[in-house]
Amino acid sequence: MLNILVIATFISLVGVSALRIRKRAVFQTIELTETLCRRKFSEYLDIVELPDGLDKVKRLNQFKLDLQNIKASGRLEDISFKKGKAKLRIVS
Amino acid sequence: MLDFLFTIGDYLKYFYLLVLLAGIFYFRNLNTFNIVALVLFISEIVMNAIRDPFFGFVNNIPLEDANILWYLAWAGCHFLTLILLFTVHEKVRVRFGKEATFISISLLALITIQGLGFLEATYIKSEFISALYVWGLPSINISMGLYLLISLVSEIRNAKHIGHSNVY
Repeated sequence: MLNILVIATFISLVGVSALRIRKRAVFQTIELTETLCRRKFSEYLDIVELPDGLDKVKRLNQFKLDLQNIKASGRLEDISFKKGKAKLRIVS
Repeated sequence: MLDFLFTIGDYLKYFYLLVLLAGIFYFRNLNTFNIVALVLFISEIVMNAIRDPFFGFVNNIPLEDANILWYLAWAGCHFLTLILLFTVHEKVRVRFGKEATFISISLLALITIQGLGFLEATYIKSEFISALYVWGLPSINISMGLYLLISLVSEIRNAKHIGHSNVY
């Protein structure tokens, strides 16, 4: 009986940790894109902020389009998208 | 080889301290790299301090209880480290970066291996799980330190290459 409780505790620890990591990853995606839209890109590249009325999917899609345009300008050294998460390197 | 891995593991706290100092010196601000190095440094110190007395304690109790206490205690330590990592990031409002993500996944792997180790010790007698426990734990511990070092070096190299550090 005690062993079963211990195994359940282990499963709980693993489950809570995995959920926490997953939750953090989603939060990171939203925060990353919004932060870049509002601050970093406007500082470096004069990007117009995305309209607040759009939902997150539309905002993200619009953001991707904007990024592709910026890349064409030659100031982005690297850009990659994976599962809605943007990773980029900007040349000053 | 295994002794070598354990010996390196004993010196990880000093390594984390050096990485932390290098990170503070280089970044000059509170970012995800410095938080990860600080949390791992504290965690290593605490775990190294309790390891020997705890080992002496579990040696003097029945094997079944010793198994439960031993595996559960280390899984608990890794879990607390993970929670501390999340909590500090949230308190100081720093983005959870790639270093923190890698370390948190490594800590999750450590907790899983502790669970498998407990299963192996009580129910499943498996050579594979036993080897995974003996080799996996020190390897993951060392890989966490190495990842921090490689991350710092690559950050410095990128900053020199493109003029400033600007990787998100």
